[in-house]
Amino acid sequence: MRSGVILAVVTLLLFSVWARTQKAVNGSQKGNDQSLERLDRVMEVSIMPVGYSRKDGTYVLKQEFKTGEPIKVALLITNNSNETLVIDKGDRSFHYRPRLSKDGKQVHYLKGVQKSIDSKDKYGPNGLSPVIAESLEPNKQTCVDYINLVEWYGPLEAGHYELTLGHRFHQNGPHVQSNTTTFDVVP
Amino acid sequence: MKKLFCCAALFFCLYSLPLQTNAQQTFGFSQVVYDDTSNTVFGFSTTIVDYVGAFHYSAYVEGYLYNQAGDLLDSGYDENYFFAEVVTIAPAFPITQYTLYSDHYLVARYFVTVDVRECDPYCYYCFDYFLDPYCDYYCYGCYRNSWWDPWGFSFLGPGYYGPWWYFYGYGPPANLEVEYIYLGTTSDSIITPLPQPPQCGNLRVEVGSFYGTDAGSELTGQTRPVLLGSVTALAAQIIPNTAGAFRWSIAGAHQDSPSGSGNSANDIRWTEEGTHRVTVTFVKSDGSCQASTSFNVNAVVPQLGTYMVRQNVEQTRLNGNCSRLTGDTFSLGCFPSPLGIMFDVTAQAPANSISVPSDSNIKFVQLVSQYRRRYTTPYGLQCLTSRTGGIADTVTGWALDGDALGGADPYDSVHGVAHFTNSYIATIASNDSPANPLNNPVQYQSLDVNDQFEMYVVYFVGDPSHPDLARVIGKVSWYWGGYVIFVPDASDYDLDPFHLFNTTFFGSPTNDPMRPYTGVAKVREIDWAACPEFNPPSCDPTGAQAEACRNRGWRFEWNPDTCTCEYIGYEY
Repeated sequence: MRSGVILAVVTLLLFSVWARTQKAVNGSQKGNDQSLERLDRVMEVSIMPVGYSRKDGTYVLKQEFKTGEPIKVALLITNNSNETLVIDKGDRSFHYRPRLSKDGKQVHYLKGVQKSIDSKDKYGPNGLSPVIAESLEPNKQTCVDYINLVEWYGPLEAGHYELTLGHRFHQNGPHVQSNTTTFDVVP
Repeated sequence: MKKLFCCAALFFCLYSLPLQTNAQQTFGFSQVVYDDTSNTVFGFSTTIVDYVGAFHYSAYVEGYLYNQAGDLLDSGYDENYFFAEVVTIAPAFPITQYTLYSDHYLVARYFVTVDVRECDPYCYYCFDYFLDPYCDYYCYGCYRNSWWDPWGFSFLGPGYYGPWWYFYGYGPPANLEVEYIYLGTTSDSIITPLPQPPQCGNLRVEVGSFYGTDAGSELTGQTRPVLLGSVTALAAQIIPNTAGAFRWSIAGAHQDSPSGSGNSANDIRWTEEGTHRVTVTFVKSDGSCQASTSFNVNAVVPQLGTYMVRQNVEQTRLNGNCSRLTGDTFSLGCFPSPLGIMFDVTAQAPANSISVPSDSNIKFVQLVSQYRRRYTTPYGLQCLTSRTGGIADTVTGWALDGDALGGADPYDSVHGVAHFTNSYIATIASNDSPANPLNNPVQYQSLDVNDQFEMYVVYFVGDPSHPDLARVIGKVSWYWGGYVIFVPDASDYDLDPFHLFNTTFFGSPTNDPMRPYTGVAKVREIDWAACPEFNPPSCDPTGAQAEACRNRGWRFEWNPDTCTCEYIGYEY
């Protein structure tokens, strides 16, 4: 009888320790989720087509490209919070969802890109691509990346294009939508 | 004149060469030069016999100097034991072509008495009545004096050549009726330049750079560094101010674009390392006189200053969400804090450089040879790698580090790229926090990670993704990984990491190009496949036995070498 009481007490103690641990783990998970969800709320995403200017030594706004010319889009993120926040970049097929239309008609991704996107949508990031930390200062717009549209769509034919970018900051997060920008490709 | 010295040195080398090779050769040479001080054209026609040949032959040459109308302006000849040379001279007229033809001969030095064995129909030489059926009277014998050609130069087919030619004695020894053996003709030609106006006594040209710590100062006579491939913006001026135009004479492989009033400015990009001379000549608008100045540039590639790397330890975390992954993770550091590995680089060029600093850049480019091997209950043993030889193979499987869209060059297009400041220093920094999920999308029973990296620092000019010129200036090799095994009883993981402590180390300067990379980085969940080193054993070609072993739980491991399901629980 005595041993039974001791066993019951020990079991109760172990259970309470386990429960506390689980609570801590779940709490940490929840805390993580909350901080990640905050990114979706405070980050503002914008894009603009750019070309490299040797004279300026950097990428500058460019809205007309010749066919075959590299077409890049600067990704600018504004941190609308009052503290520095860190995002990760490097896994483009997880983070970015460009939507490109030519003369009003949607342009499809390259076949291999669509497969990669489907894999990322299903399984999320896996740490195999570079995971590069990018600190975003409060209330400031920061250029985060230059997206090469040729990697997504292949060479673009001549025409008028409209582009919007969805940016996903974390797994299961929404694609925060950017402004819509336009550019032309000319022969 | 310098050219003549070079020719003399060349002749000497050619003369001494046969001592070693014992070849039977003769050298013929033609050269026309224009002397702007005396306004004269000189033609040099030369025949040289080698040391061995000179025992049997003398050198002989004839030189003929013509103008473009075909008028013979001068001619001459020379004969000597080893070295025959004739100089032809004519006054020079501007923009006129002068051509020198040199006929090269050897002169047989000895003649021999030859026993004539054949007979001519008239028995002119030979009176050998008994041997010659055509001779109708008694013949006592016949001898003839012939010139001795022991190396058979007379069998050489003479021809017309460029400014020089080697004539070889290929044939058998021969007896000749004439002592002069014609070898062939070499020729050379020049067009005289426009007449140069005299120096303007009262004018002075100054040249300076728009960039550099002493931008605008006079560069005449100096040697100043410029960064390879980047723009050097120069401007020239004439003092006192005079109407006219500038001409730029630039040595070394380069591109330039003169501009401004009278071509007074020029943007020059050297694409060849080394010291190159820049001469700027000003010609007065009436063409009456000119003035010039010159200085040197030394085109260099910037050097690596510092390359510091700080690496964190590997760790497993339950619900760690490291590197923004879901659930349990194995990672280097634990993004966002601490980061896995951080790179900080500075590069520098000579402080007295004069090229446009913002036109020169550095960037990171990372290569990876990835190897990840996991064991999961649904899928068994799988790998994610481009290596052909397995975990220990660090030679194959290299790829440009990137994501499912392909390799990323530059590695980090924002912070991993920078141009040089006005003090010719560039700084870049970036980081990486590689990781692997441990229970997403399935529970891993074990995980082996052996990822090898090389992070290069590359100097470049132009678009970072498509540079006009790029050179590696620094490199660091690094790696991360370890062995993780899931312990179900503890709902935790055992880890044997590669790194037990945080480390700081340094990259090193290098001029070697990047390692060739042909592999494709495999970064998707759907890329997990059979491991390269684990082909199915013949005893279990379908993998059914291995599958059954896996189903017995984590304490059992399939051994493909012995085809047995081994109990390994006691090890943990």
